[in-house]
Order: sequence, then structure tokens, then C-alpha cells
Amino acid sequence: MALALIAVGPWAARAIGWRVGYLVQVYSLVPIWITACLSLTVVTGYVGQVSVGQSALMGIGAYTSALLCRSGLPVTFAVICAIAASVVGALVLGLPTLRLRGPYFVVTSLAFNGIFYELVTNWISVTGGPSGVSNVPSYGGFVGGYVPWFFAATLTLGVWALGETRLGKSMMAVRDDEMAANAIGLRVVPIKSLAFVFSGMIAGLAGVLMVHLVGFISPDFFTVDQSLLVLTMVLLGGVRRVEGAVLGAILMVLVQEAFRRFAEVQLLFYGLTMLVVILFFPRGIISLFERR
Amino acid sequence: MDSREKVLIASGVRKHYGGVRAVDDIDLEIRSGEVVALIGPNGAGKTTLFNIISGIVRPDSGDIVFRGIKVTGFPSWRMAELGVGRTFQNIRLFDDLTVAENIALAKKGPALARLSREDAEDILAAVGLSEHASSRAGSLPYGLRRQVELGRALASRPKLLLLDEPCAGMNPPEAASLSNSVLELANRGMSVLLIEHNMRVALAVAHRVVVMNFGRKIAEGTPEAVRNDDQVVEAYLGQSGGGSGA
Repeated sequence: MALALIAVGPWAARAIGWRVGYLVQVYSLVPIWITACLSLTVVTGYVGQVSVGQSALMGIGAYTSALLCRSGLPVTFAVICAIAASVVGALVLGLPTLRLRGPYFVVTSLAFNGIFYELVTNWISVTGGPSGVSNVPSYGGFVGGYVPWFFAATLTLGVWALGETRLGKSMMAVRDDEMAANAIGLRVVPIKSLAFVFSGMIAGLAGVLMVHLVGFISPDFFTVDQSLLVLTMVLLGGVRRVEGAVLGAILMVLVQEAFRRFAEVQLLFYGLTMLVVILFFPRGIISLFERR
Repeated sequence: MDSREKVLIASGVRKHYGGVRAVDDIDLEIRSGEVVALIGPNGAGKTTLFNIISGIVRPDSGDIVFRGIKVTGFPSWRMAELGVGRTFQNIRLFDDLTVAENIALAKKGPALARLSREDAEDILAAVGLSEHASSRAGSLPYGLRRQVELGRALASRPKLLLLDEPCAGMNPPEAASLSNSVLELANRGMSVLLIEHNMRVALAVAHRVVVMNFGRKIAEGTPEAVRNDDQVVEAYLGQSGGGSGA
């Protein structure tokens, strides 16, 4: 219901005469961030691996789709390849670190993001380096702006439904106590691996949605700062709940827009937000609406 | 001669941590429907032996055979699949899941099926947790958390149940109730290996008692025999005079 209300926003805005173009752009970015947050909900909220590498996974999807489209391949094929590439990226990040938890995994994912950024910045012959890739086919325009909303809504339902299944609850059991999960017969390695696969798919799709909305891509879209932004969003909303991902993404985009002129202190803002949330709402703002 | 099936045979099991011999050349057999109490002072190696049997810790040497299969070094999820259920000395629940979900997860089922309370209904009733089914496990008081852990261990219908100090923190009526439950499970053919510092409980429910000290087995026999063993009295029972404390 909330998603539906938000999705009709631009039409309502046009009816009352606001600047529609800018509003559509902002509204179209919200579901992309929701999608990115959902990828973190699976890997951090469900299975307990705190990742600061989600923007690299988005970037793998975005670059793969952009480069394949530019080489003349059909968009659908490029998108499928892009999502597959992000899954491979997630497994490259996840599989060697299956036994790492807490700060060790955070640092590994941070390094993964850093390596990705350096790679796309310096591999100029393929990625265009700092100049990026332009002229990517775009689904932009007024109606096209709603494409990400469709995927965000579908994935929101999908990730919520996953959380209700035996597999989803097994992920949460692994998050809560790995040793106890093993002791009741849950296989931690395949469960974590599946979480990485799902997370990679969703993050890859977020990257694809972004590049085909903007029609351009550069390394600056996929810095560690962007990964921290996604993490801040889910922490703000509530990392263990799908609703938290949606709420966090919406709130952060709105706040970012409101404070756009203070871009140079954004990292400080993310840090302070995380601190306040962890201290006062460790389960996110969504916990204020929980009954139990 | 006892004709019941040997559910577990551990032979020559050793586990050293640096210079510490946590488990040193332990032999242990448990038969179907038998309750064996594993007792000994703190640091005797009881929990390490539990961890070896349940696959959490790999022994340095020795063999574990479970229901005719050599399972030495098997991971704990595999041991659980084969029929070893356990509880932990420090309760380990999935705190953010409900009581019903904690229990239902220990049962087998399709990965993409919705996990429902019905999956856990029989166990919830058996361990008296029906009215707490929807409560978050992390929100329960200590005694109920113990019950949830027991229910979760029973949910997979194990052939061998390892209970690590199940009466810790319980009052005498609760401990007596748990003793009855253990005996009932044994009567149904389940084997139980029990670590228990409450000597009244351990000696009351066990068909056989194994005593460990400094990683070694120092005595084994019926509760009466162990109670009168000089070595045991000196190493362990003497410290508490055979009372209820450790």
C-alpha cells in the first residue's frame, strides 16, 4: 500500500503543478535504493554478514549490462548476463569468507569494494576509466521512471516471502547462532552461499536499473561511500526487516535531497546517523512500530 | 549380557589443546534406551567429549562409531542428520525467532515451504510450551529457554540425545520433572548421555555413570558402584559430600 502511494506521487505532483522532471528522477532513484537495501537485508539482516561491498555488486551488474549493450547485444541478454555477473561477484566475495564473521567480513567486503573501484577506474580500455560509459540504452522518461518501482515492489514481496520460508528462517538461525544451527542439522555453508547468491542477484539488478535509468555510468557511482550509504539506510530502517529496507531507503533519499548542498559532509552525516540509530534504535526505526 | 543395540561406541578418543589433555584416551559405549551420566569436576573434559561426539570438535585420535557407521570427524550437521541431538551448557537458541520456529527448524521439510507453528505443535505440547509458541525465544525467562532447547533437540527425533547440564538453574520440582522426562524418553528407546552437576538427578536417572577427571575416565559403573568408588569420592563426590551441588 505504501509503495503504491509513493508510486502515484509524480502524477499527483504533476496535477498540482510541481517540477515533474526532477521529482520523477528522485522518485525513480528511491526504488533503486530500496532494491540495493533489499540485497543487504538478505545478506546482513537474514544471514548476519555485515557487508560494505554492496555498491561493488551493483557496479558489476551495471558495468556488465552497459558494456554488453554498447557492444550491440540485446538489452534482455545484457541484463541477464549482468545479474549473473553480480552473482559471481557475490560468490567471489562470499565463498572465501564463509568462516569470517563480524569485523573480519566487514573489512573483506570493504576491500572487495575498493578493488572493484580501482579496477573500473584504471582498466580504461574496457570501462572507460574515470570517464565511465555513456550512451547506455535508457528506459527513462515519465513512464519509464516507474520500471524500478515495479522491480522494487516485486523484490520487496519476494524477500519478505523468503523470510517466511524454512530457508529464510534457516538463514536467520545461522545469523543468531551458527553452532546451534549446525547442531540441529542446518548446513551453514550452503545456506550462507544461497544468501550471497540472492544478495548478488538483487544488487546486480539494482545496478542494472540504475545504469539504464541514468544512461551513463562511472566509477564514482560505486564507491565505498555508496556501500556505506546502503548500510546506513538499512540500519536506519531496520536491518532485519524488509519494511526496514524500504523505510530506510525512502528516509535517506529524502534527507539526502533536503541536505544536497552539504554534500561534502555526507560521510560525517552517515556516521552520525549510524551512531544515533545503533545507540537509540538498534533494531531500526521500524522497531518503533513492532508490537512484540 | 545386554543384548540392546550399541548406539554409540567411542574408543581411544583424545583431544589436546596445546599442553592440556582435554580428553585423554576415552572409551565409551551407550546402548539403545540407556541413560548414561557423565560426571566429573569442572574442566574434566565432559563438554569437550560432548563436542567430539556431536561433531563440533574433531578428535586428535580415536574413533567414534554411531549406529554402526564410523563417524569420526563428521561435521555436526551430519551428526544431527544421523540422529544425534544435543543441548548446550550455555543455552544457545535462535533468539530472534519464535519458540515454534526454533523447534520447527530442527525438523526436516521443503526449503521453500512456509515455516508454520503446526510444524512444531507436537513438540510444543510435549515440552509444555504451547502457550509460548509465538513468543520470541530471546524474550523468555531462563527456565523456559531450557525447555525450548530441549524441545528443539527432540524435534529431529534423535536416537542419541546429549544433554549438557539440563538442570542448571532449575529448582528441585523442575529438576524432578526433567528427570521424569529423561526416563520416559529412555523407555521409548532413546539413548541419553547426560552431563549433570546435580548429583541427585544424575544418580537418580542414570543406568550407568561415567566419571571423568583431567580428561581421563576414572570410573564407570552403576550409580551405586560409582557412589562407593574411592577414586570418585576423592576426585569429585568428596568435594560435595554426595549432595546436590557440584
